Amino acid sequence: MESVIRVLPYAVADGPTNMAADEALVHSAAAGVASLRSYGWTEATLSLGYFQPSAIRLSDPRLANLPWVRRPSGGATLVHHHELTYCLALPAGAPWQTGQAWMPRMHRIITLALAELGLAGQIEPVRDGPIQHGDVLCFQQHTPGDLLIGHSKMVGSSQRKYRQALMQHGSILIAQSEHTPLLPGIREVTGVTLLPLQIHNATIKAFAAETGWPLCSDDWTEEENASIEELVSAKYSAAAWNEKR
Amino acid sequence: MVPQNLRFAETHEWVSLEGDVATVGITKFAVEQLTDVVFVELAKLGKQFAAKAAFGQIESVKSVNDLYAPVAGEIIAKNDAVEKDPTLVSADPYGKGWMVKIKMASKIDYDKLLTPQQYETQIATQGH
Repeated sequence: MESVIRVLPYAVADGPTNMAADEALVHSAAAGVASLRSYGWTEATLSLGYFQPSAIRLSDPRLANLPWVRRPSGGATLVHHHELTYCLALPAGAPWQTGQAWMPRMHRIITLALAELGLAGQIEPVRDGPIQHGDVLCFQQHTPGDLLIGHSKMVGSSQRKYRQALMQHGSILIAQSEHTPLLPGIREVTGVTLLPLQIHNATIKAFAAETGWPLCSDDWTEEENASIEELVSAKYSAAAWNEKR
Repeated sequence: MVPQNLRFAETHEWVSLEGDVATVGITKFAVEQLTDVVFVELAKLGKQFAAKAAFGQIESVKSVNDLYAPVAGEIIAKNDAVEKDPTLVSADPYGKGWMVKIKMASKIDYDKLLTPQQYETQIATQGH
């Protein structure tokens, strides 16, 4: 079978819709369909890692009033504001998953994309750690493989496996949010202002170059749209999911 | 070498059988793929599962994975210790890192599990 990966259009949505869409993609991946997408957020939104207690969002008054959603993936708390978020969903087995870890591989691809956009030589992966600069926010926690510019984390990712299909999503911090004043973005650290679509396009190009897989622009299927709608109402907008801990 | 007295699911759970009760955990190979296990969540006692349904979740570094019931049945015991101290799974996957005991609905699912030799072949040829 040819290793075609479909690329979905850049879109902006709220937290429950974004998480439902990412989960729909891993279900498609479990059925053999590989996908890559990137997206934004309609408003500053806090996301919790799957295992985090919901009360943790109340620990900082700047975070407590943000809309929030629990992710299906692991890791710590994120504030999604001035960022590009990507989601990669891959079926089990070869050629998609061959033992090569996708966290560092995707981060290498993003490094290539950002280099294409004028940040060559400025991005380095975290090599030691983990190092914690704070208790709550993911971008205050530096784990090997995360991407830094200077001492500031700019890219971090997390994963969810579903029947051995992989869903990996991650954030590229374009600029600082007023809700997280301790976390400068690419704009503050480098002086370079990037647009989400610039990063989206550069990432697709770098992904194709690094993997050699053909990419094809595509849209959501009817089944995926129905699944997203169901997941938004039954899971990602529901207290039973978001406040499960 | 995997333990020769166990059976295995393709999704890397191991099963030890005593009568109609299956003790379930995840294999050393799975643990090595996960690296550091930081959270484990197991289903409640009394919950009924079909074979291959998720009976819990496990998180390693930023990665959440489902744990799949290798056999259908009811959870009659769970290892609270691994929820309190997930490092037990990494330290002793075939011993103190056991997860649940399932009273099997029938032995059909058990008979379909991989033998140690078959599982060794799988992990030699396939990533996690």
